Amino acid sequence: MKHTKKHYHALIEHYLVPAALFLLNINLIHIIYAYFNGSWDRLWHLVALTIAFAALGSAVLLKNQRLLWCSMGYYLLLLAYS
Amino acid sequence: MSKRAGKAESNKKLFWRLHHWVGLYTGILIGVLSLTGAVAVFIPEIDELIVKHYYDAASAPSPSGIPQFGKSIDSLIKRYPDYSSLTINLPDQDGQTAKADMTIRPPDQDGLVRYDFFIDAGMDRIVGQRNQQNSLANYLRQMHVRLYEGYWGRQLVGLGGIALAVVTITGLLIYGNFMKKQAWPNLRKTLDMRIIMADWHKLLGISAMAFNLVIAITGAWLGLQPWLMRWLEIETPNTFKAPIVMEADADKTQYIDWQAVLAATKTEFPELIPRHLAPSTNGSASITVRGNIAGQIYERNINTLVISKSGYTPIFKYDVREQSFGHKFYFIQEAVHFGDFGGLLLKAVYAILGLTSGFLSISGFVIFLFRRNKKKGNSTAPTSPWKTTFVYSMLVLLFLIVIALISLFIGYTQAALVAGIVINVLLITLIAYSLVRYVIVRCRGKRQAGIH
Repeated sequence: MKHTKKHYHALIEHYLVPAALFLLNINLIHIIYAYFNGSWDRLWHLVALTIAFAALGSAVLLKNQRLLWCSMGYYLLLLAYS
Repeated sequence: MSKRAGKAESNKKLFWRLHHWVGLYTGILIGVLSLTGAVAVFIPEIDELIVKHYYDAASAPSPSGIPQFGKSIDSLIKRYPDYSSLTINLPDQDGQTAKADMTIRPPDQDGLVRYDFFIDAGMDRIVGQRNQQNSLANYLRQMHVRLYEGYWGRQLVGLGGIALAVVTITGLLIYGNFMKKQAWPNLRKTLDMRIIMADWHKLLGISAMAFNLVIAITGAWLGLQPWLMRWLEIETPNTFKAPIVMEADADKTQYIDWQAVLAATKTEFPELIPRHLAPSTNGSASITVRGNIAGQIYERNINTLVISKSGYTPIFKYDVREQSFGHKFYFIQEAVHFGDFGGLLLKAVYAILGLTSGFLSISGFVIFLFRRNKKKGNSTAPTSPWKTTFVYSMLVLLFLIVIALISLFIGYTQAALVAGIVINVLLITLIAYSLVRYVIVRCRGKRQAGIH
């Protein structure tokens, strides 16, 4: 079986992962605050925040460039419009 | 190498040097603030446990569901008629005591002393007391806020915040250079402790970067606030002073129906969860009610309602939600710094993430020592990096424990004196060492340039 070495992507490793981790820090605090204060009347907001957390977390672990960009953009939009 | 690439390389060297030197000279300060900060987020919970278990003070359920403390406050005012200030802290949860924070002149002591009297808010009776300044809660707060040093301790902490911001930002700028072909969150398989610590340093540093940056900036602001506000001519928001309408002595002894005060607060400011009630002692015949609004990320007890002692009519109301951006921004700093807006889980996350800056200062120091030993050659190294780090860490812990013991069992003033001497001697030594070292390096450089 042929083993292929995983390609090292400097843009992802040096820039996108740190940026996503930066937003993940903020998102973690944000999500705990939102759940603690129980804004259940704005259920969509809690769902959207949870999706952002899952998206950012999986993007950082999977290191897919498109997922990283999309999850970061999604959370920034959520921050701007909520 | 092109001109642009050369400039980028020289910038990275500058960032690395900044990261290295700022981290080295302020690492101990950052480590102390990280440790004390991780504990400081739990001050209210720790204090409640102490009050409940050490002072054996608790509240029975109140028959009306509203805290009862009027008779106890009246008895305290009769016992200490020349008190200079009084604040009643209402319980957060059932079972907790209300606390009367009074500045009094005890008969057996000279000068004013701040006392906490614990009130059973169900039975309305005093069940304990303590000197507020000598409490563990006060130690934890003062150590984190000003290192127990009264003159410029707070400003030193602010400078620690700036230093943490500098090392966080420069750490990000040199991150790519140090990762090269290494992927996050991989750790290299090696027995070389320098590499192991370097990998953990990079992994935790980049993973908690946003948190550390926020803590650094808010900490710098909170520490340097008195100086910055003076320099930038910023006025403190929410400093209403009710007009004087009677003699101070008459004001102090005026009867207050506290249940009527709480009822008036509910009517005039329904969203306010009252936490502190402070009757005036200066002749303004008013009661200041401070508290929180559920779900808001602002400094605790910043929403205010001032009502008159006669008739309990409102004189002034401060609802932070209705204020300008400047006021909101001003009052968000402390809440964001201490993480008291999301319950115990958020506090636990704050404590864990807060400890990363302490780990980073220790791991950074270990990396520095290993690198220095490697440069000199292992055989000439006088002590192992671990031993040096252990000694420094133990000295820091010894300082924290000794000051805590002095503060708890002898007194705040004596603890502040010892802390002030230790910190100022260390500060002068550090500055003198840096200057001497700088001069020696410059002279050596000039001499070598002369030889060549």
